[in-house]
Order: sequence, then structure tokens, then C-alpha cells
Amino acid sequence: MSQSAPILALDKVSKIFGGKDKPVYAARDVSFALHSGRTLALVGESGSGKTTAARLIMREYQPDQGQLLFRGAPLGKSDAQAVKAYRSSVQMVFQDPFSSLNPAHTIRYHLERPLRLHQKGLNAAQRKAAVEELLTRVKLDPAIVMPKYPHELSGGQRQRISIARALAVNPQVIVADEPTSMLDVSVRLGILNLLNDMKAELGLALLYITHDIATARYVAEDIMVMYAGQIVEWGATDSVLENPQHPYTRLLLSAVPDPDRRFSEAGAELDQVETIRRQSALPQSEIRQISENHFIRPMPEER
Amino acid sequence: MTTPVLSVRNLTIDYIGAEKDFSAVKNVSFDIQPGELFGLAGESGCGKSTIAFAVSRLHRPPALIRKGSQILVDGRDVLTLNDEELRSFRWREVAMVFQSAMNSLNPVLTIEDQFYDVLRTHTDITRAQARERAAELLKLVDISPDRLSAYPHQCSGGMRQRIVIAICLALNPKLLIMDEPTTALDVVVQREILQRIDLLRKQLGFAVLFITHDLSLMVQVSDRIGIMLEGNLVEVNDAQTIYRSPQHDYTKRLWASMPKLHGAQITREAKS
Repeated sequence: MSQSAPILALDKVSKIFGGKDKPVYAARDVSFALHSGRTLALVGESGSGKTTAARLIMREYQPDQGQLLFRGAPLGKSDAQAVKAYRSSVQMVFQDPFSSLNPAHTIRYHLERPLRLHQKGLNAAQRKAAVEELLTRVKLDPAIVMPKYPHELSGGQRQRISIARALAVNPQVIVADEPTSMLDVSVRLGILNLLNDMKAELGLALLYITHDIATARYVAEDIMVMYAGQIVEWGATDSVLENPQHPYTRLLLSAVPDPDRRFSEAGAELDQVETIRRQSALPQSEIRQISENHFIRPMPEER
Repeated sequence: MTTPVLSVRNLTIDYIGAEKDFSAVKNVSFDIQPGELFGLAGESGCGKSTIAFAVSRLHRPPALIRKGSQILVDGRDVLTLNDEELRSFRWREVAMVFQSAMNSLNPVLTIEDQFYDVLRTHTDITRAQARERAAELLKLVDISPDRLSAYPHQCSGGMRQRIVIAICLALNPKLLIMDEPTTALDVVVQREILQRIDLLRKQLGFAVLFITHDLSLMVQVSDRIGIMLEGNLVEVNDAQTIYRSPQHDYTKRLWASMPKLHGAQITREAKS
């Protein structure tokens, strides 16, 4: 990744829960960088720490070790003003389009709200125009959608509203946590295409969190595989998926539904699920480079 | 010609509304042969779960099965069974694993008691025999019999799902209905469970009606697949044909909207 300076970077960030005697690392020594106009996918199963990474970026958690760098500057426990500026630069799209919108408010209200908070200069007419522009951007008809309530929209339409809401404050980074997992396959692609378009048109840096590796391949230039709080393998998406080096990545890939492979042709990895899980969960500070943009943290036994 | 385990004929199910009825299943017919794994795929609201519920007579008003519909299990029409017949039919002939099956275990009973509950209701079995049978069934799904004394909350989601499957197999049903059995689980666990099911059905000879929205997964495990769209069964074919040369336009569109893991990527104009 030898392009422009990253917009947002995590530098050896750890998040620890539990007491001193029995610490649980929800994130361990996590480092990655988000660049303008690029998508980084974070894949892993539930409990692997994907959402913890998102929460660290959204400042819902403070890192216990390491730091976040925003445009190169460390982000400490800064003052309210800086936090607000950060929040308008870094926005999130949530998994559940049914619970992430307020059922008691219209779509227009949902989109005007961030504008009221973050762009105080606008008058009512300007705000309305801004909402219309946002809805057009996410390919919804403002005249039809603005007065509606969330329950009157489909899941895909609601997810478009969530994206419009995130875009309302002109962010530079969008964190999308499983944005399509609750949608039907036929509408998923539309949302993924929309995220892709926004990335290209607005130069956004996207962190796409998912357990669906096929969609990660569709949207992301780079990919990271997370297990037990550690990023075990990362690099260019094609390199990681075509030439996976970490046993856990291979296990995960062998379990992904793939119509080209009958179930009876099980990979060797499936016989050693427990071993791979146990070994991969051990802390590992060594990093091995596979190719120019492809790295793993080898399992301890492989040393 | 063997008698199909399940033979659905002209099944029409409406949800009765105050103003107008919603037609959920429209004149659907298909067969499942003994030992076959038949997949029913489609998007939310296409009627696939409605069919699953109807086959085990678990549908409730406002769902109404229209006259002329037939659901034959081993040649016997399920829709004409009385309450007593229905009680012995469920579990013994057809057992069902629900989407949230791992949450359908009783939280205040041990695993052993949950097996005993089913076995005692349907057979004349002693406590000791039930315990032995339960241990045997747990081994089938690769769980140690020590777990019999555990409560559901002490088991992982994947383990609970396997326990439910073991309970479903307790009375050797001819047909196991699985409605999105692994949707709430991770892919690695999902794969372990489905491989186990595949092995068991070959070993024990039961047929499976497998319902999911994940078409890739379905092609991997099923013998034949039916594709549903808005209550209609639009295509039924063997799994490889559904994947390699889908006949119906909707099946083609479904494939065209699914990003691929390997090889040439789908084009973006597929559907938006």
C-alpha cells in the first residue's frame, strides 16, 4: 500500500476486557490504515473482534494500548470540539437497517438532523435541498421518500437511508459493519455498488466489515482476516484469497459456501478445526511477509 | 418406483386479511424421495417457510391451506390427520429444525431431560433407556455424552443446534425439515453441521427438506433444488443444473447478483 498518506490509521491498538488476572483481548496489537478512494475489508467470524475494531474507530471504546492516528495526528482524549470534528469525518453504517432508524421520525428528519448538528449555517430551504441531494445520491426519489417513515421502506431502501445519513456530514471515512447481511441477495449488490460509487466519486476511505468473503472480494482492494482479536493475515484481496497462507484463513475459506465444490470434498483443514483455532488464538508478534502486499502472523507452532 | 417420502400436490396457502388475502404459496407441487436432500431456495417472503410449516401442520391462522391442496407423507395426507394422529405423526415421521433452533431448547431443563421429554411422549421408554438413547444420539452429532447433564446456556450456539438435530432424530423420522438451520451460525460451524447432516442422512436414510436463502450453500449440499419466487415454484432441477445451466430467468438473475469467491467476477449491471 504505497500510495497517499492514510486518512485514518490504527497503530498497535489493543482493547482488553476483564480483570488484570484474566484479561480478554477483544483486539490485540491491531494495526491497519485507511486510504482515500480505497476499501479495506475486515473479515472474520462472530467474536473475532471485527466490531470491536469498528467501535475503536468510532471512539465508543478507548484503546488500552496503542493509538489512533487521524491524518497522521494521534487522537487522544481530545476536547469536545475535536471529537465533533472527528465524528463528522468518520461515519458508520450499521448492520441492521430495521433498528438503526428511529421508527417515530420521517426520513426527512433523519437526514436533516446531522445537517442541523454539523452544518449550523444552513437555513431551512438549504437543508431541504441538501436532503434532496443526498437522497438523489443514494438513488432514491426525494419527493416520494422524504415524508415516509422507516417502516414504509424496504430493507434495501432503509440501508440507502443509512448511507445517505452517513454522507450528510461530508465524511472522509465510512465504516460499514455488515451493511448487507440482513438484506436479500438481489438487493445486496445494489448497496455494494452504491458504496463503491461513493468511494470513487467522493474519495471516501471505506472499512467494510463482513463475514461474507465473496462480497469482500467484490468491493475491497485490500483484505484483513481477523481471529480472536488478532489480524492473522492481510494484504491485496486477490493475493490473500487465491494464495492464503495462514491456516485459519484456509479454514475460513474452505468453509465459505462455494457452489463449485461439493461438501463431501472437505478440505484437510476441517479435520483440525480445534487445533487451528487454539493455535491461532495465541498472541503472535512476529510478522512474515509473503509478497509485496501480503502478510501473515504465523501460528506459533510454525516457527 | 418408490413412494416419495413427501409429495406436495397443488399446495395453495393464503394469509387471510381483513381487506384482501395474501397469496403466499401458489399451486406448488414437488416430491422428495427417500434419503434425498431437497433444497428450497428463495428470498424473504417467497413462501418457503410457509411450506415448511404446512408440511408439519404447524401453520396457524391467518394462514389457510386452500381446498385441493395435498401434502402426502409416505402416501398419507397430512392435512386430513386428526389431533391424535397428528401427535404421533410429528417427530416420528417428520421432525423440524427451526432457524433459531438453538434458542428453542428449554433453558431450565438439562439436555437429558429434553431428550426424555420427546422420547417419553412418543414411546414407552424408561428413564434409563432414554438416557442411553440420548447418549447414543449425542454421539451421532459428535457431542460427548457428558453433556447430558448440562443446561443449554452451557453449550455454544453450534452445539445447541446439533443437540436440536439429535433430538429431531430421536424417533428416526423419515423426513427432517430444516428451515435456515445455520443462518445464525458462523461459516465454519455451519459447514461442520451440514457435513454432519449429510453423513447422517446417508447413514440413517432419512430425507431432508432444506430451506435457505443461500443458494451457493444449497448447491453444495443438495441433491435437487426448487427455486421459489413470490409463492410460485419456478424451477426444480438437480443441484448442478441449477448452478451450471439454470433454466428460469429468476434463477439466472439470482446467480448474477451474487459476488463470486473465485474466478471471473459478476458484472455490476446485473441488478441494482
